[in-house]
Amino acid sequence: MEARGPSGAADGRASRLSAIGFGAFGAVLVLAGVVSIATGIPNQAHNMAPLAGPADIGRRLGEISPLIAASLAALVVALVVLTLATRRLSREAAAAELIVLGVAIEICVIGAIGRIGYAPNGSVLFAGLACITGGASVIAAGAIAALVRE
Amino acid sequence: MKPLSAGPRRGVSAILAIDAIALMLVLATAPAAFVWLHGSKPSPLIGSSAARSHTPSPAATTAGPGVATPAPAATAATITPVPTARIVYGDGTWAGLPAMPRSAWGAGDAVLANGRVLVIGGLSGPDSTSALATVEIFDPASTSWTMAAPMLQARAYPATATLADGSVLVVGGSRGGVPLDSAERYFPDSGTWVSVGSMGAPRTQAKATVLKDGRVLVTGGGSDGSPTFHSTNAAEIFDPATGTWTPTASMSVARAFHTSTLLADGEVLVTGGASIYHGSKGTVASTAEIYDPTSATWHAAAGMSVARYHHTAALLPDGRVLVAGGWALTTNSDKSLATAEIYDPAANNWTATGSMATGRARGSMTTLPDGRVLVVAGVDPAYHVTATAEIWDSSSGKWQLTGRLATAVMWPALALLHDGRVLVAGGALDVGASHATSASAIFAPPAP
Repeated sequence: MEARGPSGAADGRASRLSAIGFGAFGAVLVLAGVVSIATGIPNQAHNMAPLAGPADIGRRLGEISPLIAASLAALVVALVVLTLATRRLSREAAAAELIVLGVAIEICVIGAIGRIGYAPNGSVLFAGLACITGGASVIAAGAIAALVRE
Repeated sequence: MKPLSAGPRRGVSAILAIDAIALMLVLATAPAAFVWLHGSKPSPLIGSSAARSHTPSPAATTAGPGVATPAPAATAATITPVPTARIVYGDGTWAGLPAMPRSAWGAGDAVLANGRVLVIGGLSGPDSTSALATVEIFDPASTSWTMAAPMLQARAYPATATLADGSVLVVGGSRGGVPLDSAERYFPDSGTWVSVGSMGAPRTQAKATVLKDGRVLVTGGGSDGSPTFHSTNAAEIFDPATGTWTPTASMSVARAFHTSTLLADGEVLVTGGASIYHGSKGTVASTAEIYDPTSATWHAAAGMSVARYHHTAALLPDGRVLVAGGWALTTNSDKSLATAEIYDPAANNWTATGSMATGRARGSMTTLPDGRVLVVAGVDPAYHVTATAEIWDSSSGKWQLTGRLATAVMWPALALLHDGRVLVAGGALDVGASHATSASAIFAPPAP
């Protein structure tokens, strides 16, 4: 087995911190975007009315399931980032998780973008952009964690 | 702190370089997604140059099935009157056009800024189980019909309004006997429909009227379905800028099959309508009331001389409102009215004018650019559909029969084209509406 020297330790620490930063940034963006879309604050999506209340989630499950999936994935990303920060999860495992979760977020958001991507006046809804960017950030977190060997 | 040797320093530098590249890629997704969404956006941005250059037709700014009431010339922000020199006069006959791609009656209609006409939804059979989501576009330049993207929801008897940015709002209607609370908006630039949420209550046979400030007032309509049709007195406002619906003051009485007309001062006049409709039992109103958008309140206007529903109304160039025809009772034996009367907002009174040559209900009416009023089709006093058309002239106060349609229909779609000609499309071929037609025709009015 190859011995790990000071160089590998420093690389590993740096890449871990980078992955944590990107992952946390992505999770926050996705969650903020989903909350914005669900509440209609500050701008309502053109083709998706804001949730009228918790009971509305059940009634409109089919309509909002991509957003629920994306937000659940973002919560798992936050959990992965937390375990990565506390070194309870190896970078390799975290990398795989983050990449898969990031791709899942992108699929959910892009799949629903026709309904959530625009404000009623036709302008681009920034909550949708935030979700897409958040998903990309999570993928980047996974890639950084995977690229560098400790 | 112990300084890092050259090896670790290189490693950290490499990580930082990877981070920088990753950060650039992540941040680039936002503008990339913006460009992607913006390129396929469903509408022109309000306030864009494209939106400002729109000059929607005077027709169909207020419309339910069978009623196309022009907005006053005073609404210059959204309406560009047709110059008289551009009016295409003819011999007062109807010229046949290619048939629409499908048959429909009880459809909504709207004139787009480019002069094309949308025929929206409607029914293919006798009841709203045959409601249609299909939308046709008539191009006056090529006199041809094409299919547009279908609505998100099939709708019989929708209310439509052409908004200031050139998009078209379609609200309510019914499907399968159930009134709808949903609304959607058509963006001609992208040819797409988008949902614009739901009204506070479902309604069919409602009226949508574009206010001077660009918002839309939706009034009345049936709040539940067959067999008993209960109307609502509720009204609400759609704000295109925010895409939100807001309840506003209710009318004094419930109304459906009524008329709603934007007055020159920005207020909205509603007349007549039925409050309950069940077979031969029903209540028809002769009352009228006016909505003031600045105070968001209704106040009573003078009542018509007779109760009317399924009548037609048109704004005259001098600011008065012409109302004609309809039924006074909901019994099938009731004869459709030939009488017409004019409301003067300044004096708050109604004055009788000449009667039509034939009574008609469920017809269609529009004000021609020269100020005369055309009424066409409908149900005659013998309870048969009619092919007749008549023109009312304000100078004489009389109606004169003009060219007949090739086919008698009721409840066709009607649109005033930019050149002053009038398009009629579809309609039901019998009073029971067991058959609809896809026929369309264009009318070039005779010179005054």
